[in-house]
Amino acid sequence: MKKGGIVALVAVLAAALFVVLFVTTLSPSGDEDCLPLGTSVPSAGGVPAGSFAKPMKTGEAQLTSGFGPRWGTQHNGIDLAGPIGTPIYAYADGVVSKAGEAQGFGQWIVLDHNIGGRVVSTVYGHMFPDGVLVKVGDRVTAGQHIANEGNNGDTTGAHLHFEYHPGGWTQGGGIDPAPYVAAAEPGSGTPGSASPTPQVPAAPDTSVGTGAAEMAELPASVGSEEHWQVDTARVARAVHAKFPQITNIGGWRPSDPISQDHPSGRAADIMIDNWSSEEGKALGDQVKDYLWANREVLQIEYMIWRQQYIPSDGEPNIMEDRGSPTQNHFDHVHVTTVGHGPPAPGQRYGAVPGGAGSAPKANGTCTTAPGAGIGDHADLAAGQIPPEFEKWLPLSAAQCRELSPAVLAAQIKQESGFRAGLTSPAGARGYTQFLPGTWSSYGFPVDDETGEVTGPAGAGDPDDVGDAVMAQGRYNCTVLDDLRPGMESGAITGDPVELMLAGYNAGPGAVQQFGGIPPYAETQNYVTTITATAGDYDLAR
Amino acid sequence: MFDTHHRRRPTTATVLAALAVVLIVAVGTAVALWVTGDSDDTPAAGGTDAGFTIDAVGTDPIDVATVVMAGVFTWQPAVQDSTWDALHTQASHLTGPMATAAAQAPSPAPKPISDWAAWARSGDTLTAVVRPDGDTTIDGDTATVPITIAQTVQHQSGQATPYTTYTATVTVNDAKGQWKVRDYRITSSSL
Repeated sequence: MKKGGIVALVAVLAAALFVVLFVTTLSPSGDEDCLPLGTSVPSAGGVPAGSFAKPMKTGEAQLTSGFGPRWGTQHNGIDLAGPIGTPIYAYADGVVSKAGEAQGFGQWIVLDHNIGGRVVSTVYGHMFPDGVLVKVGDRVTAGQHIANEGNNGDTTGAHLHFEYHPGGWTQGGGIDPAPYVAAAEPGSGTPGSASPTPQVPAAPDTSVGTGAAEMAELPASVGSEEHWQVDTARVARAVHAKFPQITNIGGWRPSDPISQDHPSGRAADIMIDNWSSEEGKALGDQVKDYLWANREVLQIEYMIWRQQYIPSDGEPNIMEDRGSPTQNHFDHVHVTTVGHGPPAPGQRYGAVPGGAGSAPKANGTCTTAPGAGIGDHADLAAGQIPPEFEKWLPLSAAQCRELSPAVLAAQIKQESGFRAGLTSPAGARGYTQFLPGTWSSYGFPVDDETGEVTGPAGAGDPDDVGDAVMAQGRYNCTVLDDLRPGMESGAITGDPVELMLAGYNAGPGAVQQFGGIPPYAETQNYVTTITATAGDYDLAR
Repeated sequence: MFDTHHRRRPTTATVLAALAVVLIVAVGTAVALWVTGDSDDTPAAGGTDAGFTIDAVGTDPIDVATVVMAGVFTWQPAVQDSTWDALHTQASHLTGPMATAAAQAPSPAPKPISDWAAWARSGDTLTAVVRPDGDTTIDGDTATVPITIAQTVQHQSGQATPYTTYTATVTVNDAKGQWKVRDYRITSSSL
């Protein structure tokens, strides 16, 4: 090789080395991919539990401009100045709703918080790109180090621009943050009020209720013990006895491509109503803790709740992200037992175990084993229709040509989950959740065999399967009849079944007004969910 | 004893190569510091943006679609009667059917989302994180923006629960020089 070539080669290698060092030095590490969405990342700068955090430490920043009019413009926040790179902290627990480039701010972060049941957004501006330490969708905790101060965008010098928006961020909105930054000093408490804190597991309590009788069989309205092994049935009976508000315990299915826990009858799924609410989460936590405290009596091998794998022996851990809330066990507690075979004739299950305690929490370690391959991998009970409904679905669907048994089944699942006795806060009743006014027009009693009307409108029972399902079809067909002229003239466009469902949810008048599915979140969610669920029933039938 | 007799003297080319390496590293480092801003570590006690008019969110169709839909799907059930209240707060960014829907609460009201009452009882809030999800098409004064809407339930305890992720298409119209959301359609849901 000639000398000139050597020179060029050396130069190229040096440039390549520099690029590699540059990129690897500046790129953030990304090893948090399987943290559950409901878990936050602990970091330095935390504040005492329940406290809000100053966005910058008192000794590291000074107020350079307050909220209010300045030189003909409205200053929508406060400015806190310190050296470039000074840490910036999250004001409260929250979710990163915006992060990245923003006109005038260079880079910004917007956090959404729940403060007293209200949305409050806080804004952090003027960072450089490498000073933004969180990304959209991340969960943060109060006092978490989320950014480093910069001098980016429209600014006379390095500072943090901080805004406070009750009700959520709006352009030009916000109120004076000054009263709110009188908060705790970052670093004055345990990092992250919601951070996983290892707990000492409670000693298993093997006691049973003193003098208590044999546990009652699981009511059919809650679930079936058929196909379960002895230990699984015992778990279901105990949970039903301790938590009668739980409406559905199930889990057996004939096959599972990954795990044999359910097909073998060793696993139960305890469904948590309103699982996405704080009250639902609290109920699931109580069930999990109760089962943990009685894990020896109940012969529990492991549980899964809110993406945490909790073995009876060994450390709990956080499972890989499988996608949906069901697959990640946010809407049910999965319990796998040792089993001990099918129940013998005259099988006894004992009294309701009375142990109490708290299950340990996962320490935040991301793992795929032994959690991988266990639990539930698909939506539960997809396509399963309670037998008492099967006769009525085709009878009701025959009332107009657009209806199908699958759509009716999906609609009942959406309305009531096939459960009797439900009354909504608005007064809607029964399997198909009719308001009294609508039921008085469509709720006929019907013959138990033929479905033919046997009495006046309103005299039917919304908790009778036949009366409810026939009324459901009847009302769907009436909605379609109302919409048909508009559909035929072109004033209303869209799939007839989707329009029918939209009319069922929002009223046919709303569909007529908007010439299609109205832009209401409730209605769009209703139509999308039911048509997707109907596909499961189509496959099953 | 070292044999210095056969040591090769640096050639002009070797010297140039060494200089090139030093120059590249120096220039590269300077560029890196300039890009990251780390070169300016002097305290800037007087730094402020008061006096600047800052409109943080851009005005192109994607920015408008994502910001407005985040507002439409961010809910406070404890203080809102229904999702319409959130829609109403975005009224100034809406046109066509969306503006009509936001102007007046629907009567009769749509059946509520099944978890709404429990969220209200618990004081939960829902935050929507909206991201573009594919290519935006612009045809004249109309743009179609595909998005995802990921809702997280935030509890008063500080804990959170992931909720629905929707895919949706948003129609945005250029209304007198300002892009506004005209309509949307949810196309799939994770629940």
